[in-house]
Amino acid sequence: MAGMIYQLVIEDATREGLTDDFLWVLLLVVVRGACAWGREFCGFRAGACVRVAVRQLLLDKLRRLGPLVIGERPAGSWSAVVVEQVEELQEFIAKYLPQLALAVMIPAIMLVVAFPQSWVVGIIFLGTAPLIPFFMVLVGMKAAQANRKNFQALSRLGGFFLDRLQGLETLKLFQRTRFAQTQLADASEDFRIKTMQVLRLAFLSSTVLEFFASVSIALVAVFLGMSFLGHITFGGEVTLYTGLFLLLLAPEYYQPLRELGVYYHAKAKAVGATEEILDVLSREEPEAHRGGLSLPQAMPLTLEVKELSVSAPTRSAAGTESTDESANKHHLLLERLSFKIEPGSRVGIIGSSGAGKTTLINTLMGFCNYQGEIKIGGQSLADTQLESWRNEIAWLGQQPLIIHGSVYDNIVFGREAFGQVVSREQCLEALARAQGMDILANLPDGLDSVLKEQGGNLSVGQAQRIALARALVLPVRFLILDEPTASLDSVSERLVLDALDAIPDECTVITITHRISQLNVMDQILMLEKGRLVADGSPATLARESSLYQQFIHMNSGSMDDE
Amino acid sequence: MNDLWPFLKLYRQHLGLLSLGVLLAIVTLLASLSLLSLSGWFITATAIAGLTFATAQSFNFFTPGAGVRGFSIARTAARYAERLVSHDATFRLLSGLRSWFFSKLIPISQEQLGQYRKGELLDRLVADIDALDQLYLRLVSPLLSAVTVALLFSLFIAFFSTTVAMVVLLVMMLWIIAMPLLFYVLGRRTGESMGVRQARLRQEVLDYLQGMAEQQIYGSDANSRATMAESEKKLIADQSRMAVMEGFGSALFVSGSGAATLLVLYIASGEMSTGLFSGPVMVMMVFGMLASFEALMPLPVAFQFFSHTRHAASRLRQVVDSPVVVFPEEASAEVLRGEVQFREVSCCYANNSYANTPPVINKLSLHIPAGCRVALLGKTGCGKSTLIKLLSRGLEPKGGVILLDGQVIQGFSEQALYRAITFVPQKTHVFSATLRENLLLAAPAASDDQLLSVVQDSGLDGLAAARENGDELLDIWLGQGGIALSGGEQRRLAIARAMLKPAPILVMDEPGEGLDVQSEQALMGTVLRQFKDSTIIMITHKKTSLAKMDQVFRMENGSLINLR
Repeated sequence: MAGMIYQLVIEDATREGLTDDFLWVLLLVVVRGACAWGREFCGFRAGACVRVAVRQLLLDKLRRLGPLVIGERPAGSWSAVVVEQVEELQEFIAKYLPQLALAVMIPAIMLVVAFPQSWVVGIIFLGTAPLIPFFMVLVGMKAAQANRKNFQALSRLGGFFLDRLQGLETLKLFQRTRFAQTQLADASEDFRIKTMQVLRLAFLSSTVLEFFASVSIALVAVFLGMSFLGHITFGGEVTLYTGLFLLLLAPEYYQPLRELGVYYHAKAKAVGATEEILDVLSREEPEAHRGGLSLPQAMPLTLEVKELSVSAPTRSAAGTESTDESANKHHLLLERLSFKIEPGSRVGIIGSSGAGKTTLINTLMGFCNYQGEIKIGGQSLADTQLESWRNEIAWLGQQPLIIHGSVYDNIVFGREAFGQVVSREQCLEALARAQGMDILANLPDGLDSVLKEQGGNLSVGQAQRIALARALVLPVRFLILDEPTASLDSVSERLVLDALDAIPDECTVITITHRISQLNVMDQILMLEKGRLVADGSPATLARESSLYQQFIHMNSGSMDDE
Repeated sequence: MNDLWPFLKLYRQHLGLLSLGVLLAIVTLLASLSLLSLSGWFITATAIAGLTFATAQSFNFFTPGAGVRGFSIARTAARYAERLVSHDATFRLLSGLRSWFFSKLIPISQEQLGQYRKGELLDRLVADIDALDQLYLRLVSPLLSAVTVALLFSLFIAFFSTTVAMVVLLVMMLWIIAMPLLFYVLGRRTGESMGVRQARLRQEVLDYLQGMAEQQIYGSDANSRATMAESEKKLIADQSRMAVMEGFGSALFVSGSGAATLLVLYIASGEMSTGLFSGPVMVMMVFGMLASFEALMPLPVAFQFFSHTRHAASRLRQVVDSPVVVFPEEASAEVLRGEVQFREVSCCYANNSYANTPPVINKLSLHIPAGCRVALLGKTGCGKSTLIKLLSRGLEPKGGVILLDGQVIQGFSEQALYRAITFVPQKTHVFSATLRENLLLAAPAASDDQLLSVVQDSGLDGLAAARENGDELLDIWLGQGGIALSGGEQRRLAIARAMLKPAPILVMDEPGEGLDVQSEQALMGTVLRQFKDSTIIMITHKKTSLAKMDQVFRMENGSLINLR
């Protein structure tokens, strides 16, 4: 373009004579556009690949960590890491990293082009060049630091806002909404003032960069003008062509670095996200289950537990690493438990809350690390392939899990992928055994009716019976129940208990329960207190011999649930 | 646009600052444009003047030289000021938006609000608000400055040639009008579907994580993972379409600025050959066109995400426009005795379940004389908690009346009602704040000594074990970023709050949940001593503290059965 202007202005060419040049430049313009498009797209692909890989890593890690670790925090906060935080990496990889390379390469290329044209302009460019790495560091460190602080403060403020929104009802009950509103306004104002102080500095460093870009244009223009007028004689002969060419080049020289500043927030976000992602990835995993043996197929399985202990780190404030010796001492959730469960027996686990009942069944299902020995059919659980053991178990928790999908999907629960074919007839049969046929009657499309997540369109009792059908649809040798009727009304409870009565005799059923009325049908009762096994025997024996059991019955018969 | 209007109205408060931001943005752009066009003019003019010695000597280079330096400094200074001002304005807007939203939520009924509490909806609302505060930086400011720069620049060109000025104005206006429209249309569908698909993926991940135990036991892990991978692929396909569009935008920008410059060069060189203006002026026009595209750069992306912003606005509008609970404005009577009466009260939830649910409460009548202690027993879901929501006016009865001290509950002002009743709700919200602040909520004027004695009485002093070295007990940080309280500790906190707020009526929903029998008895003893003259309504499914109550009712199928 500089050449065309030179010909038009100095050599009095006509535009008709330059048609070819016009077309060439137009072509170049289009090619440049296409390159910009390609750059955007390639960057995106790279970011997408990284995100997919990181998400895989996270999901793999969470699977290995298991439900207990996941249960420590609301599931939403994990899914935020897996979904939103991973998304935050996109801009950093797609835009910031390529721009970083450009910020170094483009000025270098321009120097190579500028020097043959005019060594003086080359020197002007080069003279400010050492400043580029200098400002890279300055801007990079100062601004990134400032941006990170800003970003953290902003997310803290967001958290504050969210917290007050969640607690709005409580605030209303105590007539403190106005106060919370003022608090919120104060926090925002405080945040604004502090952030602006930081930003003043951060913007200053990029402003200096801007200043150099502007000054280099001015300097080049003035130098060239003076040369043309003959006021400056060094620097050799320059033509208008060279002059325009260099003038057009000058802003481009600093442009990549200026653009880099635009993506700093992407970097700050990515750094924040990476911290959270690494926090998840670096968590300690349960390691006790690395065995590769399969369980024997034919024989009935006796469950034998010897000297079983499970420890847990003591609670400390989230996010702070406690260095205190005593705080780090692991305290025992279960302490040296030994018992034996015969195949086909009905076992009740009782104890007050916090006694370790849930920990015990979680350990049996292979979700936590333990010391001691668990033997299934004479084979140590530690040597057993976890999948093979879990194939023998069905489980029903206190809160029924309903996934987004049809009733059929909820009963089959993804098992058909493993060669286990579950027919619709089997589903219906399981639902019938779970006393759940009346649920279908109220649904528009029978088995294919879509259930909302968290059972939004079901009552808890209905959801629990669907979850029970899930547990019953394929034959297993162990059924583990964690207070299956805790959240049910009396009618639903009766239905669920009837369903449990119909379980085949050869299946071992282990139930955690609070309900005294359910105890008498048990073959064996395990009573826990503060992580220890304090009673083990048939209900009749315990009622005679164990004072702790008698006490438990006395205390808990006060509950409404048993009427 | 209708959805955005109420939010744009919030801008009025900061009109001065916002206008200043736009003004500075315009100054920056104009200085930048002037710098490049003046430099172009200067070089060309000096090159021509330098051809002969005489013109070279007489050329006044001081004025343009000073102009070049002036513009370069003006650009730098204006840009700095613009960034400061616009960020400051954005923070003020954000703070205003949040306060506004919060104040709009306060009067909305609990029944309405309950549906937003569920799941991640609240998080989304917060994100929606954040999306709206970008409206100014991304949309309003760039659009205003682009239009102004286009007008001023073509006006300037018109001094030399109306033809070139018309071309410049046409090109820039076409860009300002066509690009937003094009990218709004292109981005709309994908933008919507992207939101839906991200929500879908989030839900699947949530399902997967919540059901981890079931997944592992039933071995359906791989299947869920495959589903998630599929959703992720679809999401990425959408994002990829968005990225292609974004790339298209920047390609259009790069090509557009080049082509427009070329067009101006073509037109202006034709005009120049007729002698309308000189070579340097032509160069000035060409460089000016090149530089003015800086003003048009942000438009495509801004409008690509416009539909996203609009949806955020419409979701917020929906929340804000929910029905509100109306309390009488003027000062009302106070509840002094604490007599509570339900007369044939009926109530049902408006939920969208398939099954036709019968009314939760059916023509329920209950008279509680002042100072009487009543326990309501019953299974989960029998309507006990609904009764409490009726008393806090979180829910309006479908039929019948509720009387406090013989007056209808709707006649009391908000202050009078909440002064009259202290609640121990079923769910305790633990604020992310110190223990002190969590308690002061109930009694803003309480001294540390008072708080400590309540902490002692409610058994919260057990938290002392969790405090860090040297921390005061009351300074322990709770909730998010601090200690997560167990179910029992949450009950204790709720009861501690209640004990700080004496009232003629005390309503407790499952106060003993998560506590063992001994602790519950001890705690209830303390509470009952504290509220010994008050009317007490306690909902429970345990029999632990029934001996201390004057009357016991059992709730079944929406009505009451007197047990004692």
